[in-house]
Amino acid sequence: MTPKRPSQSKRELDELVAWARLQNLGLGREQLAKLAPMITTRLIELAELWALDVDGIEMAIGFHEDTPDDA
Amino acid sequence: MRDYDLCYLELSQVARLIHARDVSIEEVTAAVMNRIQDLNSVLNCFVTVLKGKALEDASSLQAELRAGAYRGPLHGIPVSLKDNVLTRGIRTTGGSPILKEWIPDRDADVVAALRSAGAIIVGKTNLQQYAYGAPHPAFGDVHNPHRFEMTCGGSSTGSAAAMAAGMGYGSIGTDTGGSIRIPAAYCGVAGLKPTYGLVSRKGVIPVSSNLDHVGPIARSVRDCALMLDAVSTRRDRDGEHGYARDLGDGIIRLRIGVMKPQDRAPLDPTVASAFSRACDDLHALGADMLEVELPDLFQAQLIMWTVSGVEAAELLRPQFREHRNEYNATLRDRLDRAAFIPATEYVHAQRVRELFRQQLNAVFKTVDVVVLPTVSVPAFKAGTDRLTIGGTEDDAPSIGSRLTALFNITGHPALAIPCHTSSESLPISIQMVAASSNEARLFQVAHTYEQLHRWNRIRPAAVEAKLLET
Repeated sequence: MTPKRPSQSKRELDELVAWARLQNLGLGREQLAKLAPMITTRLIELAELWALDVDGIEMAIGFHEDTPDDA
Repeated sequence: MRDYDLCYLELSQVARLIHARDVSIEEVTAAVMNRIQDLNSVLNCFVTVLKGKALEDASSLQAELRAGAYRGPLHGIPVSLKDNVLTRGIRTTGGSPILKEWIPDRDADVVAALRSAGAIIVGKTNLQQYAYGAPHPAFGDVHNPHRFEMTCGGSSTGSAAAMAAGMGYGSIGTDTGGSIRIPAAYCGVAGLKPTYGLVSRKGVIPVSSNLDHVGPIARSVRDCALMLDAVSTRRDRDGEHGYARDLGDGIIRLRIGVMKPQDRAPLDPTVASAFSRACDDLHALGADMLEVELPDLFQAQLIMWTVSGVEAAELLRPQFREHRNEYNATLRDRLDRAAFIPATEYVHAQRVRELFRQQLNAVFKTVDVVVLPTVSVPAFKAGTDRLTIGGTEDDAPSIGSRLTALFNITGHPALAIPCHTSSESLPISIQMVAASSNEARLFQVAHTYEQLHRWNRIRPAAVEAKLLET
């Protein structure tokens, strides 16, 4: 099932540009316009995970003792 | 024995010959170095070849042996390392032009363990840039030893192709979403992603702290067990060589769970049929086969992309900002996209990950091992962007890790071994998964199956043709 990719409005693109600037990502408007549908697709896919019941489940996070520190 | 045959032996076989003094370590190492010299220009497996140092090490390890000191099955065995594994005094590129001249001042833990076991490092193998995305053009594709125009998948491509082509007896790879098992599957060799944390990652260039694993690739299940013995941070039950201890026990009455098909993980008919025959074989060998329901593989892969993407984007950000144009386009896209994933999605993905881990743990209360295909298609033409399986079109990289990513997010050990060949003589692979820290059981089932047809002994056609020319 491939999620539908909605077209990005100018306002949404402005928000992405502002966010990229804040984060100092070095991405211009043109690059972000190309990236926007991919970002949207991933966020739509991720929305599916919210339907799962994770009540009472803690976030698993695994930085075990030998996590590379200076590689 | 001719060099040609010597190079194709399994690690355990050549170890026996060395121990019995039927062949010298110098002879074995020279044969492997010649094989690398003959084939690397067509396969592109090695980024760095260490001929001088390897031959030097071979002499001193042979002298040790003559003096009566035998370190164990890896004594004098030529092995390779994926080039994201740090080596003291030897350049470590990570498959990235940014690090092309970087010479670390220390060995990764896994390298120190191999050296201590007596292994000889013959070279550093090619990989996708930072083991995440695609090869950088400066390093180029690794070619499949079965058919040069076919993909080796990713990302431990050089390690897997080198094993298929007889360029060494074992290799160390890394696996964040399937990067050991996928190339092992496409190249027709054995590859193990061990239990999370079982093999130290210290001194391995990180991609994702939550999902990175380090493990062996070799030409047989027993060889993977011997490599794991050397590099594992824990000793299994009875000490040394513990992981190979149950190999001969057979699988009578063991319970094997067969993955119930999922709509969003379609299989190529060739793979489906080979997998079904492998399940019949396991049953004929005495196992009780039960269908089991696994967590949704599409969702598991989505969690893998999210967690690894966000962590890679965070880890690499300082370098990425400075050297953006030295990242390949695929990796650039992945890191750019990951920078826009909200923290809420990352945290939620981590909670679903834990849910899936608990669900899989529950499956292992009812079965000893779970089996499913490793990849849903045989190797396809390198450079293919989209594939259609069972009427569904998808990105080639998404298809690649669809069946492997679940076990990165849950941390369970997963082993890929060949289980058939396609009509085009390309390898097909079965994946076996066990409860956490139960690698010994995994090896037991896989070894018993491997003995039946010996799919692991098929020599790759394109390499065979090339060797005939030389």
